[in-house]
Amino acid sequence: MNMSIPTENDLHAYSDGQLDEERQRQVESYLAANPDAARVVDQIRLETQRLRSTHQNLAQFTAPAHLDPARIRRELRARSRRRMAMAAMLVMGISVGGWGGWQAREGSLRADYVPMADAVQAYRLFASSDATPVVDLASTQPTELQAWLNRHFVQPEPIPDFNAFGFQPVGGRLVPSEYGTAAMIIYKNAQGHSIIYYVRPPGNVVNFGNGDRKEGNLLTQYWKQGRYFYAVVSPTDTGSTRAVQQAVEPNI
Amino acid sequence: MATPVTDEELSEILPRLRRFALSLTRDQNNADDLVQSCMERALTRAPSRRDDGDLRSWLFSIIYRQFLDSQRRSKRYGRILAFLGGADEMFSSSAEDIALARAGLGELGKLPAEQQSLLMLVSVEGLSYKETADILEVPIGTVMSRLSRARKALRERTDGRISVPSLRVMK
Repeated sequence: MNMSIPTENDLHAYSDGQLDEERQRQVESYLAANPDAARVVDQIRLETQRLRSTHQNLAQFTAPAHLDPARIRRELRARSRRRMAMAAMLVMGISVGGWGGWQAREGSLRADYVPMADAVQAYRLFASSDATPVVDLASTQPTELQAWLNRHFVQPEPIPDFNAFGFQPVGGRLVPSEYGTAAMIIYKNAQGHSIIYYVRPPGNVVNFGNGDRKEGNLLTQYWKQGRYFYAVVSPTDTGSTRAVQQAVEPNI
Repeated sequence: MATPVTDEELSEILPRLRRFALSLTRDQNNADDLVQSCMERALTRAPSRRDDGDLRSWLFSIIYRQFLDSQRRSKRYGRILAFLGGADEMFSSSAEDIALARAGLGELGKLPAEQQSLLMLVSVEGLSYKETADILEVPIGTVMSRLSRARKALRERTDGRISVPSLRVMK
């Protein structure tokens, strides 16, 4: 049996009740025979008691509101929600940014681009009056007009024949457009109504779909074929053009 | 199986956490920062709670670890500041803070932080040497030898005797 004299550490541990049973009994019997050691233990216990009573009152340490567990729990939840939202926004940001950026890019190109607005413009300027239009080449011969068109464009589509609907070509005219030089063939019928056939290079327009568009009393039917964009502009306020419009439709 | 920590349990221990943190930092604001991050950790990492262990000592160990981390950070920061021309007043608490901390810690407030928190755990909180050793991340033997030194130091100070040698400037 180890009856060694308790060390100072043993006395502290004894005072604090930290010894195992056997060692505790040994120290106890030692203390009974050694009043000096017993006094040390008493002093330690007294000091511990004093400390405990001094610090018994925890009122001073009552937690402020921001340390309330329920509140911290709420904030943690809110924080994780914010993180999730942020992550979601990030993912969305990337995809929307990518997709939206692409859309915006096209949007900026499209913003001021109305399909074949120049064809409508050309119609208004050169074909809408009843007077004989001012043309570069006055001709009623489709072959002549075609030859003229071929000189200015590389392999353009053959000019349409609206003879069956009462419209004959009266001439061709070059018109400037922001996409490059365009050409128009003007057709007239017996009542003096005009139709134009319009050809122009695509310019910087990359996204062009076939379609039609009504602006005022004018219908523009447009399509892309080969290197060029084409349009037929005809008035809608007369029945005489309906058949022409129907004939053009399949092109679109 | 880890048991979730309830708000009631936490609320009950909260004042003790604040006091222990104060014994480490000697500044109530810093102490409360520690307590707050400890609670956040306890609430988010409840599974790491030792099931058999006492909730109080688990929370104390979190606080102590975070205290050490913050010490390391501020030391690093202090070195950078010193390198950049030094501004160490930033780290010393105001006289008022120290006085408040003293009031809160009583006689213990006169001891170095290390002895303060040790006596706080063993004598005031009544934790076992084993729990204390786990919290302070030292062997039990170290807890015991520090304990007798801390008690001696406290005795000297409360008896009014001056003990100049241990008044080391910590910087």
